[in-house]
Amino acid sequence: MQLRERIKGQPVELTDGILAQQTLAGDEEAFARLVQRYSSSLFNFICRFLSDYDAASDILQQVFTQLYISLPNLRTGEPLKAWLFQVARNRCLDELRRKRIIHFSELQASGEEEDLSPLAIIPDSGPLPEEIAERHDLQSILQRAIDALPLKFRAVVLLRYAAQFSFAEIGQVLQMPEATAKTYFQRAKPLLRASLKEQISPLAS
Amino acid sequence: MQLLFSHPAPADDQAEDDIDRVFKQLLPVELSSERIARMLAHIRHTVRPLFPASEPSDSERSSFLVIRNERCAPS
Repeated sequence: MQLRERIKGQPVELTDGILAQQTLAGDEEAFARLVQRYSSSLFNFICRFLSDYDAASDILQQVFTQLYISLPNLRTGEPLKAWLFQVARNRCLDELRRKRIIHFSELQASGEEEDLSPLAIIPDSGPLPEEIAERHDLQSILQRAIDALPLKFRAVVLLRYAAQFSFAEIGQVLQMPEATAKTYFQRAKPLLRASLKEQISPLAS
Repeated sequence: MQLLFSHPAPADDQAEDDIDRVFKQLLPVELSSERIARMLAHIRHTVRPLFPASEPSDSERSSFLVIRNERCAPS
């Protein structure tokens, strides 16, 4: 929810910068507004990334705690939204590593472009079966397809689909060029397509 | 001084395909307002306030200045 205030009868949305300033001036309500502004989109991203509701709640709290602690130093011109999602993504990777779901080598490669070879992905450009959109368990199917993605693609896909980020914003969050973010997204699509097809094919046949 | 601002997401020139259309149906996972309130309360209680409620005493102020003098090169 975006909190609005009225100045001279016109609704005015307070910028993150103003809310940050007010928080630094000791206004706790301003910090609550920042939390309200980003909690839904951040939680959605974290929850989809981890596929774990309770862990996502803990991670979200960690992200906002880090924001609260870091506010005095966050004056680098970096948009707050990108900073928050960057912290969230890093915390998610920490959580997966803690659970030993990923290995350190995958973390190292998560921001690099070295394996963007087309051979790394099996191309699958066939259309999805039309009935997929009508499946009652569509949400589970989509989540499983997300879970099956390599981490570097998962972050891009979720920032795009769950947080509605532009590729420029995705690049900011993942500290990669916008073109690389687009490339990762396009590379993820055949994997998503294959996963979706695999999940619905046993019933379709 | 530069401050933090959120920018509206610009439109991308990506043509929508069937994968985009099916993932448009990905529903947001909701977080209850009670949980947000508990989270805020937790942060307030566990993290030291950004600024002390009262001005530091003279002794605190002077020790702070000493630390700064040790770390900063003389101007």
